[in-house]
Amino acid sequence: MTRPSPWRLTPAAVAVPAVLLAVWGLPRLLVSWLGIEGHWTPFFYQYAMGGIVFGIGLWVIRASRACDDARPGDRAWFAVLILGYLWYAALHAVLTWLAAAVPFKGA
Amino acid sequence: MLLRAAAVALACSVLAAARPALAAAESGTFEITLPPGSQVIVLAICALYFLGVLAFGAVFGRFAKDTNDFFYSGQKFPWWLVTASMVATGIGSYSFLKYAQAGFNHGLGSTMTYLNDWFVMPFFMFGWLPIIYFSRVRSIPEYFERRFNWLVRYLSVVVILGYMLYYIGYNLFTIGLAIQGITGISIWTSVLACTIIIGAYVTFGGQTAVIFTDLVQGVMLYLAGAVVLVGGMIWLGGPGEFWGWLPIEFRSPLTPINSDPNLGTANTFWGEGIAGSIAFTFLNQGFIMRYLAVKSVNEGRKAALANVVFLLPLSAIVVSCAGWIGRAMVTKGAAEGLVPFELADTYHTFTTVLWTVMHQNVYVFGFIMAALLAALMSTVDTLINACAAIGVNDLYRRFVRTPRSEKHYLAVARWISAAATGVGLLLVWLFTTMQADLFNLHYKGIMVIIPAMVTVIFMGAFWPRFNATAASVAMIAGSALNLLSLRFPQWITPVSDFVLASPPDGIEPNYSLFRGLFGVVVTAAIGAGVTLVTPQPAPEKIRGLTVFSLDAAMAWFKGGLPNFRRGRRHTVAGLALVADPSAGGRVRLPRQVMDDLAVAESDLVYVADDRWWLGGIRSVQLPAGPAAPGNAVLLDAASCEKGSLVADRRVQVEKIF
Repeated sequence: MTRPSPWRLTPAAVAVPAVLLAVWGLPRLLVSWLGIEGHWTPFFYQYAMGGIVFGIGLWVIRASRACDDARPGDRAWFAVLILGYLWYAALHAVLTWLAAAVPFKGA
Repeated sequence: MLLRAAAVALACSVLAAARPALAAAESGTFEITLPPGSQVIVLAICALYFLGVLAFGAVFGRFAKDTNDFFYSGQKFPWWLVTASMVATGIGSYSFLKYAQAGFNHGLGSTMTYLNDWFVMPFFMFGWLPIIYFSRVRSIPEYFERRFNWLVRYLSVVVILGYMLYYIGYNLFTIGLAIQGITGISIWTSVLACTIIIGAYVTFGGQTAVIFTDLVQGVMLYLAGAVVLVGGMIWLGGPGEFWGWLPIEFRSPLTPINSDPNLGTANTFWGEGIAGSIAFTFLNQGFIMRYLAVKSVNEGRKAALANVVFLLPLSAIVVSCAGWIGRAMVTKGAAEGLVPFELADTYHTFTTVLWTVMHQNVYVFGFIMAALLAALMSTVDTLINACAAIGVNDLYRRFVRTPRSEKHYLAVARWISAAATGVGLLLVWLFTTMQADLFNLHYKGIMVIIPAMVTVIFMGAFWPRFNATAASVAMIAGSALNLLSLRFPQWITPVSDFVLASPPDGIEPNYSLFRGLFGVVVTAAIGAGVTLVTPQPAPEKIRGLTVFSLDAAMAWFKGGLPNFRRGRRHTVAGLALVADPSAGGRVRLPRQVMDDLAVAESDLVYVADDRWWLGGIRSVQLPAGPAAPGNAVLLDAASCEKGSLVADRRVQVEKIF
C-alpha cells in the first residue's frame, strides 16, 4: 500500500460541498417558485436532483477516461446517455401535462 | 419431469381438497366469487400450464451444456437475445400484485420506480459493465475478493444471502396472496402447497430449464398485462374514457414531493431511484449473468439501453395497469351509482380487476393466473438455487476444506435449498404480521439489507483510493447503523430534511424507501473517513478493477494491447468456414477481410454462424492469427467444437478490439 498524495483531495474538497449545496438549495428554490404542492414541482425536483447525479456520472466517466473519444463508439454512446436523459424528461413532461390538460369526468 | 408433474398434481390436489373445508372460515378475505366448480377449472389450467412450461424447458434445455457454459463463459450473444431474456427478470412476477395495488392507491405514480433508472446509467454503461465484463468476474463476492480481500467477500456473501432470502419470503408471501385472491384458501395453505412444487423444482430440476422457460414466462407476463389493459379499456369504453375517469391526482406520473409519506417523489427518487437503481443494475446476479453473456461491452450497452429505455416503461404499464383501470372503474361506477367490484383488501387488486374486466371468464382468468403463478414460482426457484450455489461454493467449500465428491456437494445443496425455503416460510409469517402495502413491505427489508453493500461496490469501482480496511469497516458499520435506524428512525430525519423528503408536520414519516439513502450516506461517510486515514491500495493490485484503469482491464481481457483502429466495415458476412489445423486455436481471416475490419494479428475476433436468428448460439471469440490464403475463414477443429460451429457453413466475422 502507498500513502495518498494530498493534492488529489483538492477537487473533492471543492466538488463535495458544491454538490451538497446544490442538493440542499435547489429543492428549496423550486418550492419557493412553484409551491410544495405545485403540479410541476415533482417533475422539476426529480430532473434537477437527477440531473446532479447524472451530471456527476458524466463527469466521472470523462475524467477517468472510461469514456474516451479515442475508442470507437464512445462519443456516440456519450450522446446516447444525454438523449436518454432527455427522453425520460420528455416522457414525464408529456404525462404531467396530460394529467392536467384533460378534464376529469367525475364530480 | 414426471416427479415435477407429480408434485404439481399433488399441490393442486392439496389446494382443491383444502378449499371446501376452509371456505367458510375464510370468507372475509375472499375478493371474487368464482362459480361452483370454477376453482377446479382454474387449478386444472394452472396444472396444465405448469406441465406445458416444464415440457418447453425440458426440450430447449437440452441445447445448453450447462448453466455455467450458457451464462458465464459464453460472451457470445447479441444484445437482442439478452434483452429478451431480461423481461422475466425485470418484471419480477410478484410485481403484478405489488404494482397493481400501488397503481390503485397512487395512480401513475406507481411507475416511478421503473422510470428513474437512467440517472445512474453513466456509472453503469461506462463503469460497472466494462469492469465486470473485462475482469471476467462471475459474481459480486468474487469482485470483492479481487478488489479488496476475503473478509469483504464473505461480508458480501452474508448480505447477498440476506437479500435473496428476503426475496424468497416476499415471493412466497405474494404467491399465497395470489392464490388466496383466486380461491379464498388461506395464505398458509397456499404457501405450503406451492412449497411442495418448488421443492420438486429445486430437488429434481435444473437451472438450465428455468433459463429457457424464463423466455416464455416473459412473453406470458406481457400478455397477461396486455389482456388486463385491453379488457379494461373495453370495459371503460376506450382510452379517452379511462383517462377522463381517472382522478387528476392519480394521473400524474410523479407524486407530490413529500406529502404522501408512502410514495413521495423525493423519497422514491433518493431511496429507490439512486440506492435501489444501483442495487438493481450493479448487484442483481440475474442481470449480471445476462450482461456477461453478451459478445462485447458495446452489445451490453445496447442491451442496457433497450432494457431501460423501452422495456422498463413497457413493464411499468403492464404491471400497474390493473390498478389504474380499477381506480377509473371505481370512479366511473360511483358517478353512475354502480359498484364494479368489492375490494376489501387492495392486496387483491390485480386478481379482482382481472376477474371483472374478463367478465368472469374462468378460462382466460385461469390462464393468466397460471402464467402469474408459474412465473412467481420460477422466481423463487431461481433464488433458492442461487442460495444453494452461494452456500456450497462460497461457504461450504471454503470452510469444509476436505475435497468431497460431487454427489456430496449436491446433497449439501439440497439441504441448503431446504433451509432457504424454511427461512422463506418464516419470513412469510413475518410479512403476515406487518401492516403495510406490498410496495412498502418489499422496500422495508430491501432498504435495510442492501445500502451498505451498494455503497461499497460503488466506491470500490469509482474511487481507486478506497481500500479493503475502509470497505470492511464501512460495510459492517453502515449495515449496523442502517439496521439500528429501524429502532431509532429519528436518525434518518436530518438526511430526509436535507433533501426536503420529510412529510409536512402532522404526517407520520415512512422511511421504508428513504432508509436506502440513509444507509448510503452513513456507509459512504464511514468509508471515506477510514480511507483518508489509511494507506491507499497498490495500483497493481486494483489494476483493471476500477473505472480509472479500463485500458488495463481490456488489455488483460484480450491478452495484449487493444486495437481501436476503425475498419471500413463493422462486420463481414457470407464467408465460408473451413476446419484447418493450421489455425492452431486462432482464427485466420482472408487478407482482404482483415484490412476491411482493420484487424491485426492477436486482435479479438468474433466468428458466428451467418444465420442471425440463431442468436449467436453457434459462435466463438478468438484471437486473430496470420492472414489465411484464399477467401475462407480458417478455424481448427477444437475451436469449431467450442463455438458449435459447423465447417462448410457460412459465417460472419467482427472485430471486438
